[in-house]
Amino acid sequence: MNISLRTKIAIFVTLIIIILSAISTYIFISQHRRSIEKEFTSRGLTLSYLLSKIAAEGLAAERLDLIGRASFILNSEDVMRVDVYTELWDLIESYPSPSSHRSPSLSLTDAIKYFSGSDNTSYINKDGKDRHFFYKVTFQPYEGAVPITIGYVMVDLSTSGMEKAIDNMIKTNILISWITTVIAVLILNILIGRIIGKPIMDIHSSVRKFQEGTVPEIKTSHSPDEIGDLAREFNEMSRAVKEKENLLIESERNITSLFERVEHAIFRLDKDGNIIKTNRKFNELFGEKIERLCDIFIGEKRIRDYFENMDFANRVKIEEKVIGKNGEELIVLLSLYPDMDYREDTKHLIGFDGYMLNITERKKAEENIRLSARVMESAMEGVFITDRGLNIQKVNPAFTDITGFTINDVIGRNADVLSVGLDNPEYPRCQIWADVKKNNLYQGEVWNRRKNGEVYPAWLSISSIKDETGEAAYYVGIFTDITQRKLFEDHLKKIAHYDILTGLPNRALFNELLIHAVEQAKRDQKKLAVMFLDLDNFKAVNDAYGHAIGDMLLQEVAQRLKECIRQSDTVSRLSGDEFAVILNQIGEISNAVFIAQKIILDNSHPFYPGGNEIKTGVSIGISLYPEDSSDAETLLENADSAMYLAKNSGKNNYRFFSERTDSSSDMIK
Amino acid sequence: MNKRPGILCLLFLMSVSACLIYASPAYSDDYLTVSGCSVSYIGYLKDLAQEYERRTGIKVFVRGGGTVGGLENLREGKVDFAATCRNRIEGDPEDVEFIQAAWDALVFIVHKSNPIKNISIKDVKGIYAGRITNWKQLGGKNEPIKVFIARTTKSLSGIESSLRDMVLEGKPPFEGPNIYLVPTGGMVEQTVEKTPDGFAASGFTSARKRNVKILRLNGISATKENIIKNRYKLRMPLFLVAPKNPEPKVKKFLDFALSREGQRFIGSLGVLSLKDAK
Repeated sequence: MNISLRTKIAIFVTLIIIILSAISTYIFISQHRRSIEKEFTSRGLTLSYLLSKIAAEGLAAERLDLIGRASFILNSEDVMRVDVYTELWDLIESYPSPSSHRSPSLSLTDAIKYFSGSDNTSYINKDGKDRHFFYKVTFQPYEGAVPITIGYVMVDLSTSGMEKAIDNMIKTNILISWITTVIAVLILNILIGRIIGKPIMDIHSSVRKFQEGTVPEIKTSHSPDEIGDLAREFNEMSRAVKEKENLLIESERNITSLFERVEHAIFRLDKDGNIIKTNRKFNELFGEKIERLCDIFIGEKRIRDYFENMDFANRVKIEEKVIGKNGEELIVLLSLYPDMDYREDTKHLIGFDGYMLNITERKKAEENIRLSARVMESAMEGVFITDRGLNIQKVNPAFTDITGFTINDVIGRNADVLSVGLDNPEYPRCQIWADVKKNNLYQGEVWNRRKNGEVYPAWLSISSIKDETGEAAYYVGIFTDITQRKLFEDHLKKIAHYDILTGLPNRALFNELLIHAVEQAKRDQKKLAVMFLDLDNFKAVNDAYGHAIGDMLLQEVAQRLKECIRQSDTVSRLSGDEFAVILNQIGEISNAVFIAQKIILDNSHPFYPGGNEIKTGVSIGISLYPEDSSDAETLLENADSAMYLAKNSGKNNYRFFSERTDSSSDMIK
Repeated sequence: MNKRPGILCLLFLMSVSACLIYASPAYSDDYLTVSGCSVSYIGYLKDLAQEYERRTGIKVFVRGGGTVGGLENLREGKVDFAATCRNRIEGDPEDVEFIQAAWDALVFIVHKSNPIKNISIKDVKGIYAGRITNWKQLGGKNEPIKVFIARTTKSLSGIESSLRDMVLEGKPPFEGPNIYLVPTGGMVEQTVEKTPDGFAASGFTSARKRNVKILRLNGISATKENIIKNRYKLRMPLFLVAPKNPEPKVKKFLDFALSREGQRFIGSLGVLSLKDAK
């Protein structure tokens, strides 16, 4: 049964009041009753005493009726009977009349016993309706004598008067007690309602509201008593609890959010491995219908072994193959934590918490990386990887082979240490990196320096690797040592510009060199001479000694020609037995003459190709810049023309182009 | 709010009131009343009355009050009959009859502590004549003798009458300062019980039941046998006094008292029946 506190207190207080009232009423009535009874007894004793005295006097006065004259006593309403007994308890007088008195009471002998030396006694008649008071009648035979007992008087007093008085007294007292109790109960209940009931109801309703989620303010908090304190503390508590609840909700939201959004498949199992709770990622991977964790494992037996042999103090962390929602095979990293209950003496397993991380993609990536690493390790090209700050992060063995730098030499150091693209004024190193940053790619031939200081050519390719934001995160440089190729290219170039037989520049190179020389002479405003040479009788030598000897002769001629000119001059074999010479900055024409004469002189001595003494000569045509032409091609043609002049004028001599109309050559001679 | 518990409790409290129950007393109209001398009353009448009630179921109320009182009551009709220890004397009612019912003897009593055991007729006369006033004179302690005499103003008591007749030669006792007059013979006996130097005359029948010493007279103890054999001289009759034409219920009692059974019962009390002494 639900009883309110107010009602309980009301009942309790009411009961207390009633009990107290009953006790006090009982005590009061008892005392009052005793008082009434005492008064009754006193009256009985007084009457019996008076009668005993009257009887003694009557005896002394020799009256036959000893007490008959005490009518004021005998006629009293409550005096039912008066008896006078002898000292041997024989009745000698009785009122109202002898005929109406009762037969001697059965308890008379008891009354006699009660005396036992005292002057009076009393007893209540067995029916309780009246009470007998006895008093000794004593007589003093003479003055100074010991009084003798000569009889007894008995007064039978009706108790009805007393009983009625007691009855009335009880009724009155109970009525008064009842009325005061009712009033007290009413007042106290009202007070209890005001002081306790109402405030507690306020608190009660506030607590209920608080349970429903609102933060109520108890109005009775201004009350200065304990209930007021309670209300105030409740108000503070409810506010504090609400704040904490908000924090908890926030925290719960954060945790739930984390739980649901985390990329780990989180789950909770009971101790038998049945799934109790999973997060979004778990459902995403395995679906929502999985009941037992073992079901998703390909190696089910093995995972069962884990459960059974699990050391409950530690977690399990294993890599496992599992079956995904759509039957695909996934690789997960499984962490499983036993959840133990330590509250009891012997700890026991409650369940498991765990999570799985899908590492399938990572595994693939790792495989790719391993492959890439292997490729890089085995590549012939040198590879270096820098971060965005151009600090070297990684190099491969080929790098070390090419540059001589070990991994320890370069890791963490700036790429400048590699001296990439050194000393090229047309394409400085900073330009390379600028290109890479701009175009994400640079490719080109550069000159690098090895650890030992040796410079080598390399084919370098640098590309940037961008991160998610599009910024370059890494730069990968791949380079090849192209020294060997370079040599081969030089060889090819030589084949194109130089005469293979004599090693002298061929016609093509001569033409370029002549153009350069002319331009140079123009800038310097210097004189330039071009000689066109042709061996005399070379056809006859070829015919007589064969081409091999002819070629050898040409090689010796070329050697004598190089010895005749300055370092800054150029000699070239144009074709067959035709040679050409550029004389830079000749100053005076005489200098050209001097060189021409020296060439003719040197080649007039016998040659010994293949051990054969062969005598030959050379015819020279000379054209001058700027006198004969300011054009290179024309200068050579003019020199050719002048050579024919010399040939025509008897071989083994020289002619200037300007001598076509006059015989200046003769004059010089 | 619940106020009912309080009210209920009060009602319950009020219900515990109690009252006394009255019952009617029982009365009887079939009884006898008798009044008379203390010697008769104590000596045999009280026991005889009880025996009569036992045999017949009729209650007999017996009272003492002395011979004089008994005769007065009888005269006024307050009792059905009376008892006395003396013969009819002048002034006694005429319409009554004195019927002897037993024998008694005059004895002299003193306090139990009194060393005196014997007394002579001469000494008794000396005491009542005022010649002997101190126990020293009788060989006792040096204390004045207090002599108690049952006497009323209206008539002569049974004992004094017998004393005068048998000892004092018809003369009244000398009324000296050591003579004390007491209303009845019963009171005299009671007074001697409580007075160490007291002295009084009384009847053997009642005195033997009191806490007193009965003196030997001239060396002879007052015993039933001595009285029957007349060794102890001062024998006296005990009478029942009734109207000459008594009511049947009185007549019936008197007949019983005088009958063989009645006399045998009296004799069994230690009292001399009519048959015991002639």
